Amino acid sequence: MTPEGMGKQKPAARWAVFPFGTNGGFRWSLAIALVSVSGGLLFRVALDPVVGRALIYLTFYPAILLAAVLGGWRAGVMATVMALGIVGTFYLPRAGPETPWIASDYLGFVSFGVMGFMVSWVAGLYHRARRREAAAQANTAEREWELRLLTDSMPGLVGFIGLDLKYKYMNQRYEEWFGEKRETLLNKAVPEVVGEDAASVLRPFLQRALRGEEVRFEAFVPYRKVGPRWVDSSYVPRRSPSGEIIGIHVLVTDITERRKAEEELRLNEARLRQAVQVARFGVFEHDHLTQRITCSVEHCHLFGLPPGEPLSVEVFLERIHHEDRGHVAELIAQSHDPTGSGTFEAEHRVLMPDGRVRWVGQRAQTFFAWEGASRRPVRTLGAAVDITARKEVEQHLHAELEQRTRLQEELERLVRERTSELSASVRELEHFSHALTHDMRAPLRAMQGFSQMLQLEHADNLNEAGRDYLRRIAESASRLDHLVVDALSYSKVILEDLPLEPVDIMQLLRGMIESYPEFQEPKATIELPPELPIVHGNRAALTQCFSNLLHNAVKFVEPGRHPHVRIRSERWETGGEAWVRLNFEDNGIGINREELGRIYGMFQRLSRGYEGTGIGLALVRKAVEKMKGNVGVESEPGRGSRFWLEMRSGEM
Amino acid sequence: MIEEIISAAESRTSRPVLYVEDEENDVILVRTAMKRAGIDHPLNVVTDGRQAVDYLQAAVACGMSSSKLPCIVLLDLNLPRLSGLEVLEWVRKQHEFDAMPIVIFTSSELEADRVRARQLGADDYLVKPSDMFKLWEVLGLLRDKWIAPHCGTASPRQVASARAVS
Repeated sequence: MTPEGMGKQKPAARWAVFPFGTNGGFRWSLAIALVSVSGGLLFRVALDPVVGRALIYLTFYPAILLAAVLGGWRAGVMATVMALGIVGTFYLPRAGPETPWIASDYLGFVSFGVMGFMVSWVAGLYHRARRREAAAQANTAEREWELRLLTDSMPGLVGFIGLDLKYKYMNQRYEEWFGEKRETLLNKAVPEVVGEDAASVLRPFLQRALRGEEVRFEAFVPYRKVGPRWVDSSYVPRRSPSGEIIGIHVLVTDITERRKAEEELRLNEARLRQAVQVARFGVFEHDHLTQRITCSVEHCHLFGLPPGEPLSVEVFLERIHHEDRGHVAELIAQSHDPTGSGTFEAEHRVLMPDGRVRWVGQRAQTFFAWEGASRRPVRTLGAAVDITARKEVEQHLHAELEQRTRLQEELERLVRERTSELSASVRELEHFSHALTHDMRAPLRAMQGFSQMLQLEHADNLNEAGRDYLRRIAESASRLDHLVVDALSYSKVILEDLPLEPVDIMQLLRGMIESYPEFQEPKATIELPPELPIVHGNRAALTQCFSNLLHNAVKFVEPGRHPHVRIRSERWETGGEAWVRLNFEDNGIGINREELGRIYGMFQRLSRGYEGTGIGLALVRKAVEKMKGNVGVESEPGRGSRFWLEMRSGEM
Repeated sequence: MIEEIISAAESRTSRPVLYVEDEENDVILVRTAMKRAGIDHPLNVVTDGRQAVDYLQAAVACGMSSSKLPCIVLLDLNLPRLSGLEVLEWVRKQHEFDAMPIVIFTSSELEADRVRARQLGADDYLVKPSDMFKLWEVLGLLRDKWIAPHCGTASPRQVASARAVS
């Protein structure tokens, strides 16, 4: 390989001008022969006036020679044949065209032919040699170019240093590292190219290489321009065929990154080791080929085994508490199964040599490799940690939870019992109230009925006072009857569940007004608005409330005044819920301010002269409160009252 | 003579009203109120559920056209021995009485009772008021709705006019 004159491009084929060769085959050869012979002929024709018919073969020898040198022996042979043809046709016999051929003619002809062939052969040899040389040169040039391409694409430096320690060859990387074109760097000495600091580091290695040693080393070299880096270098001395050293091949790889990574890894490993130590993890490795487990000091310690030699699986299993052994062995087998995920996780007890029991938590991963068509386990890596403390806490919590659950169940049972007892009592009480009410009303009916009968049938037998007494008896009986009925209603509100559902107020009120003549004209005017909302309440309870409110409204009016009740509704939203207020506005006698607060109280009757038990409004309040609503009143004596109920809207 | 007319009228309307009620006072009040309402049918009273069943069984034994067989039964609910609802249930099981209306006459305003009575086959449900005048009105209702159509041809007017004559 000649280092000089290496251009960047592929070298032009220098042999292209000389010889054309037989690569064109027959046609080429023929063409060359033709051209040569034509040349020879022309020359011959030019010579004719001077030499006549003598020297007829003269110009054809050069032609054959040229043809063979340029085109190979084939071209030479063709040229010979053509020359023979021309000579034989135009120039023989020598004596003249009409004369017969004489012996010297034949002799000359044949010997020319033979000579022609011989010349073709010899010249052909030369031609072939030249062609081979050209091909070799082309090959060499090609190889040189390939090599250049290769070395330029290599990530490291590839160079050649001569005996004078000057760079004779550099690949492209040198340009990147040292920031100058190769052409300017070539033939410069090593210190000039890499920098004095770098050179001082490299010098000893270079000296060794110059003495014939193949040197391979890693060093931290402070290169100029590209900066200090870790390199892996090899210096290979090049010898001439006679054995003398003519230079050094240089191969340099930048391993700065690799070094950094190695350092990082070392650091991480150290950190990990430290962490494992601090955390008191035990780590182990199970080699499936040898069926032995290597454990770290900590790990062996956890199992109460001596650290050091790798141990068999059985030894470890022995250490596991007999109650947990089977389960753990199964889990281990599962994790070794190539069809699974290879993970192992278990918490188990370990029986220490001194009899103590320790809880250990383990996690491991088995790695598999392909063996032919199947997978088999190769290595298991795992870690273990002492979880005795945690287990104790767990168990404690578990026990506590169980106890709490038991207590809760007990409590719930008690509550259920009490509730059913209570329900039974409530039912009994209800039943009792009904029976009592019924039995109380019978004599009251009699009292009222008979005193009325007296009034009807024996009025004549009584004086004014007597009639008055009877009237009072009847009235008292009636009052007591109403009280009994109201008391029953009130007790029902207290005792009974009030299931809540959407109730159509309008329908309820309309029905009520139609059922009672005292709510209709001419007795009273009850004004309903065009629309009333649906409320979330209990139908029966609401019926009771409205009945009480309306009866009050029409009852407590100035004597002679026509009762007028106006019902209005309002709607609003608060806290994401829709509420409804129903107002019952009357033109009654009104209520004093001081007594306003008491009106919803039990047995509160604020006006003498109007019949009432004092339970009606108390019942309304109780019922509405049980439906999760509110009641209220606004009033002025002589200017009527506004009783209102607030309840949740029943509209979806 | 008036008595003859009245008894003649009465004998034409000989099918009685069976009133099942244990409260003596209520019986007197109802009897009086019925007269005032112009119901002149004989009022046969039994004071407990068992007696009601016995009475009806006896009446049937005498034959369906017996004068003892009531044309309507007024039934209270609160009765000793057999309750009103039990009597109702029994009667409606005996298909001989299918044509006979049964009207519940009770002081209970409970919706549950009303519904149960309907379910067991009562034809109507009237509430016994405490007020005399109201009782009169209710019985008038009973007369017009049930007694007149089912129990015979005597109209209140006939009886009243018979009285007026005297």
